[in-house]
Parts: sequence; structure tokens; C-alpha cells
Amino acid sequence: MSDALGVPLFSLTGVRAVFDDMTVISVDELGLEEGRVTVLVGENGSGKTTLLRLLNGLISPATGSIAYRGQQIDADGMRTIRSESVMLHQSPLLFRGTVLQNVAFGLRIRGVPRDERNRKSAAALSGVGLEGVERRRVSTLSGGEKQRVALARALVLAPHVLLLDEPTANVDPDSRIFVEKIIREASASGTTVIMSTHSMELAYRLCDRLVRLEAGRIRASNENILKGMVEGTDELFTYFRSGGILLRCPARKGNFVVAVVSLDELILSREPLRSSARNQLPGKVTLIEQADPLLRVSVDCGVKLQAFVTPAAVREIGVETGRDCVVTFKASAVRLF
Amino acid sequence: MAWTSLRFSLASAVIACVPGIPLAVLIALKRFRGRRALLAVLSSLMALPTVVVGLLVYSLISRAGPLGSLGLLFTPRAVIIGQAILAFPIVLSMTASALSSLDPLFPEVLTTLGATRRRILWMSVREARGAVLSASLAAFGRVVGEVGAAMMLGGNIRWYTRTITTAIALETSKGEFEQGLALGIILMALALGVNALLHWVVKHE
Repeated sequence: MSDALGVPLFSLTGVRAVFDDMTVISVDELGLEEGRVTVLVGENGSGKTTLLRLLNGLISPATGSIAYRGQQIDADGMRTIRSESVMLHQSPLLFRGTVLQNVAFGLRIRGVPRDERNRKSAAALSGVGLEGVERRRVSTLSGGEKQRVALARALVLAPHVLLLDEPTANVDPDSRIFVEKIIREASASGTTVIMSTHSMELAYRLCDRLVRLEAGRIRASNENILKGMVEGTDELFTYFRSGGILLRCPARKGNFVVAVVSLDELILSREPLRSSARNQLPGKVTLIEQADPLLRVSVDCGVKLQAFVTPAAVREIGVETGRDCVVTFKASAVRLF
Repeated sequence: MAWTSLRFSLASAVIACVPGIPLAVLIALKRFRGRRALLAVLSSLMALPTVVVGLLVYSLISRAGPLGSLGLLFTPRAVIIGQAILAFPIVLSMTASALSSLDPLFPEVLTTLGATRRRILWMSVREARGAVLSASLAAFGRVVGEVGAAMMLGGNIRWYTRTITTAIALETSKGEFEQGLALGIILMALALGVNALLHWVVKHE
């Protein structure tokens, strides 16, 4: 919400969706940016699937409005949505027939000639690691293979927006790694990805932005999610580089791409502290916001870090926008994914 | 005679399917008020007595009836109209219940891939084609074996509207049991043959 770097592709205002007289989602204000990976996380029934269906125009909100590229999703807007976005449902529903018939379906109804259809379908299938299965009947596929065929059926349309509902829920661990790779590639080629997942690991690794849903409402994020890479590991620490800063984390082997630190774990001070905490980063306060009953303080340390602080503490140590301060947190507070 | 039976039954079954199957898709995929009640009425119409349909259509197309001027009574068309009315609720009700068992996400998945309403309708029938075929065959079976409407509306005219069933009724009333029995066997072979043929077609499609 606050970190709107890109152009908002979707803007939701006062959106409520109702099923059987029960409000399942209620979003006051939400903008989703183009070209990024937005990950929706939350419990079952928190409204993730409903939000995706709303964005794809598969259901209409009871109140409020959804705009896509500034255009309301009405009859005209719906045509734009249909031609530019595809949703992949959680349970991979394939049509009776062969794999090729399924993957080529979207192209066929768009009037793409058979040769081109077959070529693109074969490419999409090899993109999801399934080569030479075109003639197989879908009834002979395993669960993971079905999910990948369904993914290929969506990707073959080269959509601008890919909406994925729990893409790794029904697949084996091997396919899971594959699905992550496919989402990364789609995003790298400019596709806007909006996905839901239960796997926090997948969410942290893939997201440019994490949206947390709780009982149909969007909850402000309470974690710093820092993208980067492992720079080295010795017997004491794993060193994780994100932007201009180097974090010390408990020594662990792995190909980590993101470090997560809860906003509760950060200590702000005016002077460096003599303590056991192994991460001390000097920076400048850029923003102080209300987050009742606390304050959310943003500090630029080379990357933006946010911390929850009580109003009393802010007064006592004199935290003000523009002032220098030091952010301190323990190595063990850093989780790597 | 066997040819007449086949012609009448196929024609009426097809005429019932043309509006029946698309309507069934709509009923199965849409959620609207009174849907349950409509399905209940339809399934009870499956048991519509053939003589009642015969009587209703007769009163419409007889000389004194509102459609009397068309001169339809005791023609093949009259029989086909009556039999199509008998077949229609069977096609509709059985197809609708078969399609209701499709995954509720099916139309949504098609929609997100860019399918139009018409395409969704067609794909639903294709997906449930086995069940749709069964519905059509049940309708055919119902009309090929019925005697009430064929007798009342066709008049059992030799070489014209005499079907196997009306012939059996006639032979039996004359006391020609062997003749009736032989015709009965032909009728069953006919029904069996049509069933086998259509199943083979769907399997090899």
C-alpha cells in the first residue's frame, strides 16, 4: 500500500464481496503494481481466492469498484481483462481429451492456426518440463503433471497478468521447485504475477510485495523482507547482502534469496549499543507513521528498514524524521529463505 | 413398418434434443430462483402418460381444434410432434442432472481462458457427452416403444403411419399372437441396434 513503486495495474476502492449474506472480503484501498510479483498470504477462508477471482472478473464485487489500467471492469473492461489475464485455479481442472487439446484450447478459440497452435503448445509444455506428452490423455497424468499442464495452458497465451491460486498446493516437491522457477521466468519476461500461497517460504522467495489477508481484510505487513543473496558463510555466521547492507545471520547452508526480520525485533537508538546483537546499521529516519498503538518508523540504512516503536520511546530518545539513528537486531532474528 | 418406427422415433428424439440439450446446460450451469422446482417438475414430466400427450395434441390438431386447418391429424408429422413432446422432458431432465455433476469450476476455467458463453455451452456438452448420449438414447427408447400417441395421432394407417408398436397392438387384437411376437422381437432388435451404433460412434470420436 505504502510502497507503490510501479504503476498501479489494478486499483480497488471500497470493494466488498458477499457470499450467502456473508462478507468474505472487504478491501478499502489496494493498488497492485505492474510487472511485479504480488503474493497473497493468509489462512484458509481469508479471502485469497475470492480476491483473485475478483481481479479476473470471474465474480463481481457487491460494492466498490475495481479498475484495470484505470478502466472500470464493466463490459468493455472485462474484454481487456479477458484478453490480458488468465487465472490458474488451485485444483487443476483439465478437459477430457489429450494434453495438446487442453494446452491449445485458448489459442484455438482465439483463432490461431493449427501449426502455430501446435508449435506454441509444445514450447509451453517444454517450458513446464513436460516434453512429448501432447498425445497423452489427461486421465493418465499424475497430479503434479496435471498442475503443470494447467500452467502451460495458461502460459501459452502469454498473458500480461497471471493470477495463480495456490500453484504449489497439489504438487510434489520436485514440481514445486519447477513451479517456482516458472513463476520467476514469467515475471522476468515482464508478466505481472499475482498469486496466493500457504507456503511462507515460497511467498518470501518470490514476492516483490506481500499482502497479508486476515478474515477478508488486508493487514499491514509486520516484517522487513529484504531481497538479496548469500555472500559467504563461516563457522559463526552466514553473511547476507541486500542492497547496501550486509546482514549477519546464524550460519546456515543454502541458496537463500531473501532475509526476513520482524518489525518487532528492531531496536532504535541514537548511539551504537554495546550489546550481544550482531547487526548494527546506521541510518536516517525517513518516515514515522501511526500503527496503533505503536508507531512504525522507517529508517534508510542503505535499504529501507521498518521498526515498531512505542510513542513514549520515540519521545524519550528523540526519533524524528531526518535524524540519524542506529538500528540494532540479533543475528538470530534474521530468517533466511 | 420398422422403417416408419425408426424414422418417427429418430426424428422426434432429435427434435427434442435440439432445444433440450442447450436448455439443460443453462439449467445446470445457472443458479436462479425456482431452479429446484423446475427440475422437480421436469423429472415428473418424464412419466407423462403417452395417451395424455396423444389426447392433448389430438385436441389441438383435430379438425375442430385451433390448429385443425393445418391438416396434421393422422399424418407422420402428428406422430413426431406427439413423440417429441414425450421425449423432451427426458432429454432435458437427464442431461441437466448429468451436467450438474460437472465440476462447478468448469465454466469458470473456460471463462478465464477466454471462452464465450456459447463455447462454454458446447464444451460442457462435450465434457459430459457420455451422459448426454444416454439421455438421448433414453428419449429414443421411450418413443420407439410407445403406442398411445402413435395410435391416436397417426391412426395406424398401413404403409403410412403404422409403426411396429401399433402393428403389434393390431395383430394382438386380431388374435395373431405369433405375428405380434415376431414384431416385438424386431422392435427390440431395432432399439438395441440404435443404442449399439451410437455408443460405438461416441467411443470412436
